[in-house]
Amino acid sequence: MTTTTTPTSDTARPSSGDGPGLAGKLLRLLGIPLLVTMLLLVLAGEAPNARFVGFLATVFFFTLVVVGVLMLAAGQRAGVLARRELGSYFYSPIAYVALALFLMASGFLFQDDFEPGRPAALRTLLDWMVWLLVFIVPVLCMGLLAQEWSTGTIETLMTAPVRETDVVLGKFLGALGFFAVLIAPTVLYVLLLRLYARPDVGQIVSGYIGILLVGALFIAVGLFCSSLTRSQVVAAVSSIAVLFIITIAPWWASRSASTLGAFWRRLIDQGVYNRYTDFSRGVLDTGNVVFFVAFTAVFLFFTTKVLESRRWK
Amino acid sequence: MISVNQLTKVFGLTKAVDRVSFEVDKGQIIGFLGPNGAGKSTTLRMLTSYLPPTSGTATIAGYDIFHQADEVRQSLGYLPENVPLYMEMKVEEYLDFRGQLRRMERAHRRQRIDYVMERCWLNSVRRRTIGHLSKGFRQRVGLADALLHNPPVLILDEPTVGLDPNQIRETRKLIRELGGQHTVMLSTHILPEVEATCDRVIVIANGRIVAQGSPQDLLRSRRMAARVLVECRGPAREVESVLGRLSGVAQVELLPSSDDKNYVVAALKARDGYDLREEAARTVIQHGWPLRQIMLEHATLEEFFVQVTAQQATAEEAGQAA
Repeated sequence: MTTTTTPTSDTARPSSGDGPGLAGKLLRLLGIPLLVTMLLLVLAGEAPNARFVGFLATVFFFTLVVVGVLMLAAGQRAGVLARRELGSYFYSPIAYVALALFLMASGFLFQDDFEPGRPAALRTLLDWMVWLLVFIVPVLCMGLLAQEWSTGTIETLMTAPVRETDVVLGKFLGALGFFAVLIAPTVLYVLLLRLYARPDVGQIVSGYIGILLVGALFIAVGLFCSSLTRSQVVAAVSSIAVLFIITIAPWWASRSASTLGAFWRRLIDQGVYNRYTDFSRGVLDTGNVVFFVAFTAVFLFFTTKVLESRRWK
Repeated sequence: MISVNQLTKVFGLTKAVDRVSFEVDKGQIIGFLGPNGAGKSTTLRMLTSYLPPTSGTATIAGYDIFHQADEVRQSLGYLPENVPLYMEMKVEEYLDFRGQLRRMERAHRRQRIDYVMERCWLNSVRRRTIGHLSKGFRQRVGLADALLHNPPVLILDEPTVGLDPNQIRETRKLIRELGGQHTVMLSTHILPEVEATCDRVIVIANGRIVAQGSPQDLLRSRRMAARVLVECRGPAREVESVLGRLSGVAQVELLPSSDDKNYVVAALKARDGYDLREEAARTVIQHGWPLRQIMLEHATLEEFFVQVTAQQATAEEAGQAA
């Protein structure tokens, strides 16, 4: 039978004219953030600290643009999957426990930044946050694919018309969304700091960009570990191990770097924490950005291959 | 609608599915019958493009399961064994998610969700969390999901496992109604199920097709494996020899009667699917032995599979010898 064009059932055909077109979607996606930004900018003109508010608004806007473009670029299916994944976090007690623990810990860390005489730059909070994330992100990611394997839902998922890349991107974006929810409340500390001092906005924004990049890399690692096993415990423990090796171990070694050879010293400089501290110092180095983005992509690619590997068995 | 050609799947050293070929016409309901571990699920998983075959090909609605996997997935609805679902989601929310994943446009999606909920008796649990539902309801959610995009082909892996008798009857009725509109392929290890629902049966054992035909054919060959139990009051040895001399009888076995020591039960195995009941009854009465009970005892599924497999083995040997 020669069949290249039409499926036999018209209802099985994906609808190309689904709701508004691309332009409409872009508008809907970006319209509200655009309005909020404009409002903030108008307010900024009135406020005494115009630069501060303007800067916040710009950052807010660009973050939303990046997320929106990602959702569109990833194709609708990854978007649908990401939304489901994000939604299911809010049904899981583990996510709330992680959220609570993270906020408690970050509150303690903020105390240190909130002392009189300290630079108003949130460095303690942001630097230590990376350490917290080594343990928290694996817990958030452990179920992403391991649970699909263990309950068998992967079978319903992969027999729907989706590709492995859709699934991996969807899971990644969903987890990244929850990560944003996790981080977002700490932005309040910036506002709190603003009440008593003039925070170094540039440095703080650079620190948050770094945290987002670190989070993305950690999620990609967590997702990869979760794809390898049916057991969520194994997934969590193995990704904590990997993150420990790429984050904390190099920092530990760098304390005695002077005794090491040039090769080892260069290797240690590749550690996540060592690279991250550039961001929290306010240095936005493209090399660092490329490092995080590239390794995130590599782990996502590996995850896709693991999902495809069931076909080789 | 479904065309399978020499489909084979090898896991390591074991051949889970061995050169399976068959055709299913549009609107047919076909039963895939076999004991556990016979390769039913593996075959179905290959047909749904979840697993690629080691060798061989198959097409669903004209699309190749390997090269046109996307089109295949669009034209079939699949209910996997054990019905995996996202337990934290609500019924309606889940169906909506599945519809979005299939890129059904909003109005159409709403309409189909209403339809499948009605069809699968889910209206009462619309807003309930799937994890809190009983096995029967979950099965229906899975079935609703398979029907959601109105696919031409439905593949159902053990659709009635774990349901209570009422739900089994309802599900079978639903499947019967779906035939005609949809081409349905269902797997089961319950013999009466195929007899009740299917137009055609494929029997699979150890990864190979050992028999196919209509449920009537199956019933006939199953009758060949059946025994006639005759319970009468008479001298045991004489009963055995007299009944053994009947023309259609291949083998007689004496069993003790369950409650009365004066009675004896003779189990008669017939030659060539011959129905022995009339003749056995006449003979017993002619000899003046009071007859208390006579019945046809159907072979259990295991005996049936043993028999069918053995038949095939002999047929193959004969083929090789010739």
